[in-house]
Amino acid sequence: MGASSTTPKVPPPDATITRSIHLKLRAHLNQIADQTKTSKGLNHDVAELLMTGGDIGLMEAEDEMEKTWKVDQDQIVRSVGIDAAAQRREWKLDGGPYRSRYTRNGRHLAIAGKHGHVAAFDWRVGTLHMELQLRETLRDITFLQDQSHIAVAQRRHVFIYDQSGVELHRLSSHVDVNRLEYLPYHWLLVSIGNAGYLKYTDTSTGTLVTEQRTKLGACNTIAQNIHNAVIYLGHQNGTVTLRTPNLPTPAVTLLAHLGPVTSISVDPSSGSGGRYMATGGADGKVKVWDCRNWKGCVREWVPRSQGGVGIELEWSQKGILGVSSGGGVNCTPPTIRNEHSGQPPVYMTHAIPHRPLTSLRFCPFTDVLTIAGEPNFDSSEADPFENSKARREREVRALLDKIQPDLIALTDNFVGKLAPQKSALPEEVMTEGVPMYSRLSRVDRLKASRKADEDAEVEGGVEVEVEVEVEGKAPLTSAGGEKKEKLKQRGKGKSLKRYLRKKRKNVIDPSIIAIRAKIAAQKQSRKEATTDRAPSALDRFSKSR
Amino acid sequence: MLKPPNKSAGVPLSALLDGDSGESANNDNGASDADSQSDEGPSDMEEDDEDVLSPSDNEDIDVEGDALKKLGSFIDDLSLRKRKASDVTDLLPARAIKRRVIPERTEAAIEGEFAAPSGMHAGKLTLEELLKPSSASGNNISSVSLAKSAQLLSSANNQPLSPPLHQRQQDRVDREAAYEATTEEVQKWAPTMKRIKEAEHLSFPLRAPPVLNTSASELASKFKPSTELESAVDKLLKVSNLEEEDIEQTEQLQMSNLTIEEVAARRAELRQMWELTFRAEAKAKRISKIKSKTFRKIQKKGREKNALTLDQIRVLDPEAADTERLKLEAARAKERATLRHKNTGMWTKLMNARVRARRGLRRKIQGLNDSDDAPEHFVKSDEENDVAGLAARAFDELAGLNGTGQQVAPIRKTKSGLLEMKFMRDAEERGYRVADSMADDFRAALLGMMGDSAYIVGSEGNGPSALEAVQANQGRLIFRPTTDQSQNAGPSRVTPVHLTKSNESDTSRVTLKSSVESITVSPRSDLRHAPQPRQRIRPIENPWLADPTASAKLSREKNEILVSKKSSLASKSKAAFKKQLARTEDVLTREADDAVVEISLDQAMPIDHAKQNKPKQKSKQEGKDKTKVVDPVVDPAFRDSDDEGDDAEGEDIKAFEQRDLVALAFAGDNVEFTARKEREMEADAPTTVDMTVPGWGSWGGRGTKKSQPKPHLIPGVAPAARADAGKARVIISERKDKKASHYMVKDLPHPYTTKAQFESSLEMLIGPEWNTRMGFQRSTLLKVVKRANLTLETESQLPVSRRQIHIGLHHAFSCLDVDYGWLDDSGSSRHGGYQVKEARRKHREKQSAKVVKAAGRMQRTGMNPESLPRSRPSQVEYHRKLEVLNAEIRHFSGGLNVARIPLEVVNVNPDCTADTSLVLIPYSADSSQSTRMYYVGFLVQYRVSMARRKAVVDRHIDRDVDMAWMPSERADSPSSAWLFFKTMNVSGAGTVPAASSAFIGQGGSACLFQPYINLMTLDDDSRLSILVASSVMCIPAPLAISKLHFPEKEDHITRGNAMVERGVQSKRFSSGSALVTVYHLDCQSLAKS
Repeated sequence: MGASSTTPKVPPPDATITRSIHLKLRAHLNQIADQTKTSKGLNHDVAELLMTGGDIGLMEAEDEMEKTWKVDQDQIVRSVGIDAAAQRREWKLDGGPYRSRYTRNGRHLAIAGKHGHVAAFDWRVGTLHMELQLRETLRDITFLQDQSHIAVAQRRHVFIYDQSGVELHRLSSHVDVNRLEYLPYHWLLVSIGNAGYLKYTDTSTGTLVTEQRTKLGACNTIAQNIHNAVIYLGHQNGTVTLRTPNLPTPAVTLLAHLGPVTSISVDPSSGSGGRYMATGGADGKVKVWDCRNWKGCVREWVPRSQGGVGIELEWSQKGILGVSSGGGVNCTPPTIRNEHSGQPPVYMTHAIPHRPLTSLRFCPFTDVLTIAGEPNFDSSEADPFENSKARREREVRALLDKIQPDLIALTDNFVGKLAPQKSALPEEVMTEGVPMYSRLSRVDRLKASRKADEDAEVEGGVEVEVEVEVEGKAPLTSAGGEKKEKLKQRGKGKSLKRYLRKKRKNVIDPSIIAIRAKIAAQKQSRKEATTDRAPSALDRFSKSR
Repeated sequence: MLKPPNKSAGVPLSALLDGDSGESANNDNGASDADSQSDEGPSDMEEDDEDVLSPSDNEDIDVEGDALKKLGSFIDDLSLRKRKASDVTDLLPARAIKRRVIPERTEAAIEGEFAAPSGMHAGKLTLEELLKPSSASGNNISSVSLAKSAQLLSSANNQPLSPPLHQRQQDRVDREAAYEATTEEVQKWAPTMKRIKEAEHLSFPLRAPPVLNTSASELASKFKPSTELESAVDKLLKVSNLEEEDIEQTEQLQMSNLTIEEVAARRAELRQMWELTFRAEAKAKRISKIKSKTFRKIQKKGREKNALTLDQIRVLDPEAADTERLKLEAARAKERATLRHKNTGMWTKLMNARVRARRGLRRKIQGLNDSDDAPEHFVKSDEENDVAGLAARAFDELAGLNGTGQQVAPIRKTKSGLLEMKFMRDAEERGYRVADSMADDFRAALLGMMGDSAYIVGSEGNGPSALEAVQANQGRLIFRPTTDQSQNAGPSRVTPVHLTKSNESDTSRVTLKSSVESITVSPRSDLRHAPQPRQRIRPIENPWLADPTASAKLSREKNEILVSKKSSLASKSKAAFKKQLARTEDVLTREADDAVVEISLDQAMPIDHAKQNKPKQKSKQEGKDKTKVVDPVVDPAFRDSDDEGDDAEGEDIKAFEQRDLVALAFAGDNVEFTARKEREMEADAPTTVDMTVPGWGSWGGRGTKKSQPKPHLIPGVAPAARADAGKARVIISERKDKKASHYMVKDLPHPYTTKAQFESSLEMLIGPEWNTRMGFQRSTLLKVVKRANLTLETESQLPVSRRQIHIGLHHAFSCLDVDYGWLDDSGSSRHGGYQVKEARRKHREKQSAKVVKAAGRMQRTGMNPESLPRSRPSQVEYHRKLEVLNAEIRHFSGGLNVARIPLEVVNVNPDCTADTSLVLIPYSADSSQSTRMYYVGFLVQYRVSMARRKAVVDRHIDRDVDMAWMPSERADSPSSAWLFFKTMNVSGAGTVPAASSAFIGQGGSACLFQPYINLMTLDDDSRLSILVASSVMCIPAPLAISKLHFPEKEDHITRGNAMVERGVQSKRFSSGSALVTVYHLDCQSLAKS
């Protein structure tokens, strides 16, 4: 059986049934359209008021000769205000290579050194929440819903500590974990380790939601797409897999690099909707991918300062991609997403020689604040200035709003949408190759009974019905493109008339041909008249030469 | 004599009255008869006497001796004689009068009311005439109506009257008429109803009282200082005379200082100002409407004439002068740039025309056509040998191609419709570019063959080409674009350099040696046309094999100067060619082979899988590739492997094999990935499985047909239909996400007819996170919003005391302005309402207490006053009144079983806009007379739609007595609940107790609604109805009334579905009750709660 026969055939429409005018439906749709329009207008107004999405406040070069990447940190600190300048910090610690993580509001920072040092602190004010010497290998650290809980991937298990450093849980099911990730809206802690098992734990209930065997060996790279909570894993064989808890197999597998993938970051900026992914590989390359069409990498380059350990990269909320490789960090401006060519321009650079960089995190909001402008944070989402009461209330609210893991899927906004129709119906419901009416989907049923609004386009919600009535020509229907005989009132469409009309249609009338030819000639002459005009000096500016 | 009149019914009245003469004669005769009889009476009597005597005589004679008979007759005679004697004495004077009267007999007839007219009436007697005296005498109504009916009779064309309709038929006709009338009445509300129905949002009351916006002045006038500060400020103001009144006063004072003349002058001045302003405005208005261009021109000229010169401005304001000057300069520059006024002078025009004419003439003289004078693109060089000549011709051809391309270009411009759209133009442009680049490549190849001219590869996107850069500042080296850029910059352009003698100067060019990278240009088309095998792409360089020193080395090579300035042109080119050749042959091969190991992913795959069919594909592929447009954006590695496998095939296959091997060695990941993808594709692809089992479903033997094997299709995703089709490095899973699909809609939901419509409804997110506060509120606004506590002051406490219930009830009915007594059959209102009943109950209690006291045995608590004997006078009275009530209801319903009695709904709710008709549905639930119940429903137009209303009423018309909603002769609570739900649109919580209240006691219904108390909202109006229903009335009428008063607007949670928990079934109620299910209800517990 061919592919064509698998698609359900719709029985031929019954000609006697005329299309009813869905007045009620039209009113309803109009109402929806109105509503949408108003809401959009209001949203737009608010966006305009807050000036989001426009100028994101980057450092700008005054002229051609000045380069933003030439400005070093000292210069910046000198030129910005005290408050912003105070945000430049340097801690020299001995606990081995560290990994760090910010809370979602960017207020708190947690660090875990390889040799067992864990600390969490409010880095703005400088208050230390906890400091532990665990005396075993630490591999990763992450905050849970807020600064009150911290998960640390230790030598054998994952442990959860509270703000004051008290060990709350030992997640014994997470064994030999390399990387941790936390999905804030689903309250899920995700871990992957040397065994290659991806594990989702619901931190509100403590249950293990799913456990997936990647079959790709030890994994050192994990990232989440904040927009749809899909987990991106980078593997040793150069593939990047996209995973949801619903599917045991990856939703997408991408051969990104030759050799292991060392770092992944998904663009968290609200405008992109998680469309872009950046990967760094052990082959020394950085690639930016368009995750919408997977057509290939939109950019690929080799970072300037090579050497040392693998490339680490992260995308900031404002779209700046920070790439650390060896002894320095390069930041690329957000435009790298838009322009597709090779080596990206450098926005800022900072060299940290003789200090191999192992972790790179952008603090939410402040990656812009440091330079200029104001962050427009949504305090209901993540508030850097929240107090303890607000924190408590937000926690409760977030628990109430917790999203089920079933809702994690690659395509966002699928909830409530129409499920894709079955491509083939079982043969039992077919009668002579045509499916039974009752087994058809509603769309097909409507089509069969000519009740579907096929030719009615929804333009801004308002249906526009175009019915062209030409004498001797029935209006066209979109279905099949065949001319539909309009069912007229009694006495209007006599069979004799119809017969005559049909007969007339095929008559080749010399006069009509002559007229057509004449019109064509006129058109042609008009065209020529426009092309033959004298060349003007302005022609050089015209685009289409 | 005439025959006597026949008085049978069949004779028409007119006929009866006809025959004037006959009639009168008849009458006369009658009268005369009477007269004659009265006259003849005595004579008759006398004759009778004689007769009486005579028979006896005759008998005496005739009868042959019957003594007994004789005796009898004798006795008779005796009695007769006696009577006669007395008669004679009585009639004697009458006879005398009769004699006197005789002469008057000539008169026609006696006049009178009842006498038939005669004599004077020449025509026949009519009914009107008959009725005349009565109408004349008494002008009362009866006579008028009689006249009317008579008229009806007279105009009936002598037809017999039809018998009246059967009662039932008559009723039906009446009802239909009544229905039409009500429909018409109701139709008055149709537009209003339409508006309300179509309204997106309704807020009750519809006519809300206007919101009072108190103005600041209003508030200020009311203001009284209350706090210390306020009073202090007030005092301060008062002291400093700054209050409103004070200010006014001071102003008045100032005015009063002026003299009268001054005031007048001031007023005049003001008036003049006003006048002037008004006139100026009017004038400006008029002028602005003028459309004449001439006028405008004149105006403009005038303005310019009056305008200040630049110098004048400078004197006034130097800055403004500067800006003005700048503006002027800019305008002039623009004018010059656009050549707007070039060749517009009269002289120039003339000269131009002359020149043109002369040129035309000359051409004619020379015999040239217009088309022949195309400029020559290239100057042929004489010095070139055969190969060069060939190449030159090729160049010419190319140029010719270009020429045609340029000819095409203007036509391109004027395309219309689709071709004019940007993407089409872009695509076309791209096509041209590809063609151009191909031509360039070809040219480059030719040049390469010739070898004596240098060419430089430049990138198109890099602004000035490399050649230009060289020419601009000699002696300076060009830094070639990096590999990445050249790879991604799109099709490059090779600029040919034609070295001609005219170009001779001592500043000869410096060309750069083209190393691997410099010649390496991304488009494959270069390579295909260029025979140089070394110019090849390095799509992905091997990171592990990349020599860190390689880059330094390369950079050194880049700067190597091949040809010095001093060398002659020929030697230069010669050297270049030689060197190039040499490098091409040997050095570069080796270097490239060693330094650049291509780990082309695309190489590895065909080796692995498609080794056999590779040669076949090659020839095919080459043809394809020529036309293929290379997308610069896409990573070259992402193109399909088959397309690329052949590019790198060059002359020395050995080297290639080597590279392939190396590539294969390092491309394990890729091989594995491809295999995995194929596995997945195979697994997902639709397959057919032959499910036939040998021997099953087929018969053997001669003449049997062998049935066709039936392949069983397992649906799947065809490789071509996959999301990752044609994307070599991605696997996109085609698995169905079952868990996520629970959150999707299976089929198109009802009102929508297309998917687009449905999705447009979902387009806007409604959560507060994605909307502004106002947007969120707008999108989640309830359809109907009723202001809380519209009329009633409800309290949140439940259960409410009986008193409160009664107050509420009373309130509802008083608002309705309806005498609700007759709606109730419980007798309570007949007995004087609740208070009376309550008083009676108390009285009973007292009495029973007395009895108990007297008896001294029974305890007070154990006594149930209700169990006292019923044969009390009050009970008798009750039954009597019930009968009266029933009669009354029958009267109201017009003797019908179903009647619509329009109630005047006054003072109800301003929202209750429709007319209301009350449907009385008396229904005997039980045979016994005492338990007769009257269901009182109502239909309010704006709650019950016309269609539904019609349906309900129609149903009642069709089935006269038996209601459709009463399936059995017993009224059970579910069916009546249905009725209430349908007609009154009440919530389930309200319906259940209301419907069953007729069968359950007061406390019982309270128990029924008890579970729903927490489901009710505070302003839930159903509460009232429930309270009402469970109150003393014990009948759904209150519900109806309350619904009339407070129509339900919100969707209740229990709408259409109310579950009643079935309690312990009591034996007491299980049989003979009207309820199908009876709930044992613990009234005591309710009372406690």
